[in-house]
Amino acid sequence: MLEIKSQLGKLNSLTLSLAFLAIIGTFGLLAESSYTSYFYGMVELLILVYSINIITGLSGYANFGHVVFYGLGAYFVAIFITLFHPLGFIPHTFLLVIAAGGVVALIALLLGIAVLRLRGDYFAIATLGIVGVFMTTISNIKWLGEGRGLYFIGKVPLYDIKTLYSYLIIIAFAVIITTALILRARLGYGLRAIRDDEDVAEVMGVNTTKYKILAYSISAFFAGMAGGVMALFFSAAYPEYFLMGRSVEMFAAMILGGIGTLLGPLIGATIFWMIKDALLINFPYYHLIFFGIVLVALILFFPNGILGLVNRFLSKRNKVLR
Amino acid sequence: MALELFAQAAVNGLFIGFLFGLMGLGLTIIFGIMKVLNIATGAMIVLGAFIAYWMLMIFGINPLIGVIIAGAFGFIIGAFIYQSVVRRVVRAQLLSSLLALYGVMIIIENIMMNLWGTNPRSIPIFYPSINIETVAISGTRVAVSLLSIAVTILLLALLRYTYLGRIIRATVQDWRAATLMGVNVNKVYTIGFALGVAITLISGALMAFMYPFEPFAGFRFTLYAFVVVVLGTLGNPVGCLFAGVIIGLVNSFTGIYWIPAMIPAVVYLVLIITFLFMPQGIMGRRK
Repeated sequence: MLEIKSQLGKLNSLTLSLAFLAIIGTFGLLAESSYTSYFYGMVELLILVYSINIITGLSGYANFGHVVFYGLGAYFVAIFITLFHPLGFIPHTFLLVIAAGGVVALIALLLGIAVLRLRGDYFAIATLGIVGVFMTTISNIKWLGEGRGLYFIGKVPLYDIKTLYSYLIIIAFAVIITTALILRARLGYGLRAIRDDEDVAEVMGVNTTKYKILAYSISAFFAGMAGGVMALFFSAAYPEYFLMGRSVEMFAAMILGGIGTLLGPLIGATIFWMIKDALLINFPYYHLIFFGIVLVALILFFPNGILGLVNRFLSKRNKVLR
Repeated sequence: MALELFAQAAVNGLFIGFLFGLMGLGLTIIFGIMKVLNIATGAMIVLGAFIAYWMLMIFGINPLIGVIIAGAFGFIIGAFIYQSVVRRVVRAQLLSSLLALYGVMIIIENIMMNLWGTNPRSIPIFYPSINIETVAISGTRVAVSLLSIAVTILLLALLRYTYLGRIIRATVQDWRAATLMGVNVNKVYTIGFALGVAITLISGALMAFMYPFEPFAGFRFTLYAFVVVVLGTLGNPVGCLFAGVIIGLVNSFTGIYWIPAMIPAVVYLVLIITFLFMPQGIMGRRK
């Protein structure tokens, strides 16, 4: 009985999140371009939050290096176009974005084999180190334009924002469905077991290393795709894509919504984006201080985010959203 | 010529290494006592540098005394951060304490940016260098190194010979047993965190003698401190000093024999290699 109820709960969240995304998607596509760019940023953040949720939210591993995958995706697209444009070989750009995700996932797989043997604090430190290695190396390679970035303006047909926005919407649908599938599959249960107690999980027969690497790689896949679209948007890849600021947004939005849930990243990313936009316009210099305070306050007082608050009321009616 | 260059690189590395050791010391003390990783270390280092800088610029206080003021200030804000933030997450899941301190880092960095702008600054004081044959030993670096060693020795003495040190060590061994013996663990943690932050700010004030800094320069130092701490075995103050010297040498040799811009990348590579092949650090025992 309990099993069925929880299944129903998940189904609800999935329908809710897909419906909500469809609403944002159509609204953004039909509205004026200026509104589209507002939703563009929102959906991009949403993809990033969902992707980091797969590793950090589910397994509890603090991945401060998620921006690396975002940046590498952007660089993959930029490098590919720079290399193959003289040969006249440019595939459809959406295929290029998918390829970026694939390559980044592969890199994450190799990185994961190395760093996911580490636990807890050591893992967090190592991911910070990875950001450092990639950012300094890339901004010192002459061929990649050093600190200025790698430009490919005019080498692919210029896209208006709505085309790229539709790419993002497709990726967002994919990441939500993937999260829902992971939550129901062995992988999801295994990852949550790891979050609760890794030693116990291992003793109970969960192949922890395999699950962690798999989750790390899947999360990198979506972040890489988002980065690829970003490169197409600016027709360039900059070392700034690796900056830590994006990590702040991802973590804050993820905790705001509810860590390790299906609906949480959606709520978190949407509300975070609206607050950020309003603050950025009104207090351009102080908005990050406010974010820091919000992040700390959320962790101290509402560790389960908005979804946790909602569930507190719903649980009285024997319902729960995930 | 080659030998002289080598000797110069070795001397430079040695005398910057003690400072790196001190940067890691604040982190390792906090981790050793309460198993919390202070990810805001870099921001605190820069804060210490700013305090020494403004003490010199506004009041004309000698930065060597500014170092002590930075330490005192660090003790106060450390106690405040512990009581307001860390106390609530110290026994929670690891992710909570990391993210909470990450929030603290953002707050510190952006307050500094709003107060003092983003121009790079440095303390304009130089001590004459000592020349032995053709190798120049920077006087500033010697002074900074001596102070770093002095702070480390003071801390070790505090831990070993005072009553406070004894209760801190007892809490590290077993906080439940210490509580039963009448130790106020909350108080010990407050003092421990405040001490760690004070040392971090001191290392920042000393850093200001050598490097230019701006509010967001901390990320690099956070990583340096992490590398030192991991290489020197998490929670081991003496290992910190040795690891600091190793990192200092890596730092100066990369700078002289390769491009200075690649120094951070090489240092982080050392970190990752340490993780893979020697996760216990140089002072750790193998399982």
